[in-house]
Amino acid sequence: AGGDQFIFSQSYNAEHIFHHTSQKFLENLSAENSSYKPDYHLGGDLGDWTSQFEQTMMGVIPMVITYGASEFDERLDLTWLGYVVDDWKSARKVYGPGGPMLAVYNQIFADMDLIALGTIPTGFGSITIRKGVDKVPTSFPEDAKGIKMRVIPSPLAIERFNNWGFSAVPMPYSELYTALQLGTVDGRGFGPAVEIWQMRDVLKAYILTRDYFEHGFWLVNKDWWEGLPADERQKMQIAANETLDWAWQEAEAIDNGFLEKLRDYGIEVIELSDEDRAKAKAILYAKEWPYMEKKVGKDTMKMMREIAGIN
Amino acid sequence: MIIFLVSMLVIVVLLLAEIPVAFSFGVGALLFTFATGNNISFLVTHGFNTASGFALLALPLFILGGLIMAEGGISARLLDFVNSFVGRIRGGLGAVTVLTCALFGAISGSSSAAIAAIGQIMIPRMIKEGYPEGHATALVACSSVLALLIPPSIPMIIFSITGGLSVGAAFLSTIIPGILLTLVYCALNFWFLRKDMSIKVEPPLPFVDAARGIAKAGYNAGFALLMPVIILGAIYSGIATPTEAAAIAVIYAIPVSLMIYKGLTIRTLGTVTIRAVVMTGSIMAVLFFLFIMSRAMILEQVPKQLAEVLLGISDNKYLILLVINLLLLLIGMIVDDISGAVLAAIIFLPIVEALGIHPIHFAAVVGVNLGLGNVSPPCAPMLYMAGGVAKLPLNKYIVPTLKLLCLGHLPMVAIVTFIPELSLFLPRLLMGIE
Amino acid sequence: MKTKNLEGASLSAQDDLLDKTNMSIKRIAKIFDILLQISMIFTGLGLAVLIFAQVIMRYVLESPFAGTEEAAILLALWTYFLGMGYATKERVHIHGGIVNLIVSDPFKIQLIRFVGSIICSITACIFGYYACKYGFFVIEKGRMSLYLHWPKGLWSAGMIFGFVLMAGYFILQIVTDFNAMLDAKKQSKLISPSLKKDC
Ligand code: NA
Ligand code: NA
Repeated sequence: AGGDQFIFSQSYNAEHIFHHTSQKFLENLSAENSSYKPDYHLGGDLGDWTSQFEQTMMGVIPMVITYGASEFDERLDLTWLGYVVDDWKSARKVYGPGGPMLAVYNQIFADMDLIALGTIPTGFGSITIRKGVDKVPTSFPEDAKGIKMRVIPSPLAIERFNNWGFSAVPMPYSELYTALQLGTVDGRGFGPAVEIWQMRDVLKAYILTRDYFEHGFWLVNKDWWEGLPADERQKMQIAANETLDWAWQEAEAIDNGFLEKLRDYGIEVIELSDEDRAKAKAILYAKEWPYMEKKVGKDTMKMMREIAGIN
Repeated sequence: MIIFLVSMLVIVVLLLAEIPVAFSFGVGALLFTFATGNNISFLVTHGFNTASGFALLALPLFILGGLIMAEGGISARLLDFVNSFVGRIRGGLGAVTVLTCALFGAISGSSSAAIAAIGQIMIPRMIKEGYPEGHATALVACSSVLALLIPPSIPMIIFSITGGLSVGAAFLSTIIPGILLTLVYCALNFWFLRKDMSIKVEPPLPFVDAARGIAKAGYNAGFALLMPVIILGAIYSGIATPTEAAAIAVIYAIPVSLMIYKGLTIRTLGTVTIRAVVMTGSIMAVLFFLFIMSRAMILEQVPKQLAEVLLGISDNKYLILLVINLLLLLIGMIVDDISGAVLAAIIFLPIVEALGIHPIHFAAVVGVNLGLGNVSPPCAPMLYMAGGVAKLPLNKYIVPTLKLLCLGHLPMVAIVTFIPELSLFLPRLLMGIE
Repeated sequence: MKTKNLEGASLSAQDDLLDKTNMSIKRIAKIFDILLQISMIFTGLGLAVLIFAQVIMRYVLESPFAGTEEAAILLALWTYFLGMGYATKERVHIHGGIVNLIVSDPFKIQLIRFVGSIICSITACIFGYYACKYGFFVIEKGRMSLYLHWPKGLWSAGMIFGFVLMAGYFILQIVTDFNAMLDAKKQSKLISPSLKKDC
């Protein structure tokens, strides 16, 4: 690491929106004639997203695109909160550039020596069922009983799937593929289309619960960021803002592209009926939201309720 | 690049001077990180984070299970049963070792677990039957790599996901190479031992007596035979993940050893557990510092630079493939197999796809190479691990290892590289890929 | 138990100093050793029991308790690092090497081992220092685990403890190796005085 090089990293592969966004940023930054050259790492060669999150807190990786790791602050579970927005348009308004959530997140990040330049959308996350399971749960909790669902390692995730009537199984990502193949779990929650595509050969159905809007963070280490020369910091900020605008424009098409690929591959893509969707929502509003309120406080949840249009 | 070469040289010298493998890697990583002006503090964080991963949990459990089985009398009965089939063939037990590694590969995705579970059962038994100890150790070390070739395989999952490939197709691509390598190692084992008169071989028996012997050994091994049934059954019925199956095996082995075979007492169970923990510790130390060194190298983009230097040599497709093989081998030497899989996917996959090489074919090439990197000296964690399990110094097993690698694994790398049909046949047949 | 090597060595070094303080140091060392062994049995077997219980809970209780994963990693980390420490004490770290092939003089072999112990001690101390630094960073931030709400410091404390053990035993090993080297030198002098020139 010599001169004005700095490590810029994200842990997903070249298909992922995080990679496209990173590439765009490299272009934009060099167009700004920045003297800083990002040393870009992709594909998790510097560790998985949780580990990269921590390394950014510690300043080893100055700039990263990653998800909010609630193991470092459980308030970050807010990113996974269920049924805040219904469509891409409102998602952008809430989570995107200029939206209200960035300030909320930055308040949390302030305690972790991090600054979020913005959020990167992955798309709506839904549930999937593996090959060899007959049931296709669409109506909760009736259909969910006895179905073992892998969830991301987060208390909120377990809360949601238990509330819906599933048996929630938190499982490390490294064991997920084998578990789906052999039937240790019947399906998985918290899957955006890109991740369903990765494990397509063991999956049968993708049920579009669209229960949360998955978005990652563009994070910088606070000390590093504040230590940059003012003009360089501004160049980076400009390049980042342009990139964020681009990402929020492209993300929906990229997400839909994966959905299309899944259909073509032969995975059943199933929409929930309005009635089932309303039921699924009601359960989360009644149970998950009060649970979240205990972690982030009344004010934030009041704002979330206003955003989601519920009282 | 010079700093890298110096660090590697230091590691090799320290390894040769019998400094523990773990600390040789540690010194190398420190030196490299310090000389490249990076922050040292992240190294430990990274090692700790990786050690906190779930994937490694199978290791202590398989070690504990293997030791309890060995001490409790389960392994002996299991092996008596096996020996009732192959005890009349010179080298039979060696072939069983290779086959067991392959079979174990079908439940576990990591070579270190294979060495832990099988090495400590098979190596002492082979030595007891008169096998040269070096041969026994080398056979386990080399065959442990089969766990990466026969699915499931954690590095293959990582490679496919990082490369955007179908995990299933990548799994299928290494099956035929894996089976071939199994057969080659069995054959080499027989060939090396064909004139070794120190190996106990029982005289041939008439069929009826032989069958009676098998039946008797089978009867004696009843509870022991249930063990593999439970492990395999639990995994393939979807009841448990491989890690959980290892825990089930431990919990099953304890009462069987204490109460039925009486090879263990409560007191010796404690001693055995301590030995298992210490063995786990010595293996984890190697992995911990290997993770650290691997990260130090990746942070400085060493693998990428190596690739840039060597790939500039030519634009002939086959020459490039050859160079990539060499690079994969080098990378297998300096980083752990998971990082190696990531690097292969992000550095080489785009290059070979541009050359018109099928990505699933390349998956198989990566599989055989990363496996080889794990056992090829100087940085051969799996090899030293087998030596650690056998409690033998390197000079006792290095020659048989090199013989097995040169006559078995290395030709397999060439075959897999230059005959794409070998790795593409099954994915085409079963998954209909183009 | 295979603890005789080290005890034997320290015995010969100190057998003329058998006073009361020495006895109590030995007793403390013995108690410490037993505590270590009990901890290893607890973490090793505990890990197997815990993971086994997790499978049972998944099928019996319908909704499993997520905290088992965290506890499993906690036990595993302590298992790894206690094991590393104890492996140092028993000198069973995995090693390669060809020293015995090319060097035959016992003094030189001991010299190499002595230098090796110094290198290992230094390495263990440096990494131990950073392990402490990271551990205290975690503790200072007051991080809690996700499900059990236990301080994350418990997890990193395993690593700190392991490195303290490793560094400590390596330093003891320097002393042992130094004495062994002197012994070897005395012996090689007795056998052939000409060897002295080589060193
Ligand atoms: Na395998
Ligand atoms: Na190697």
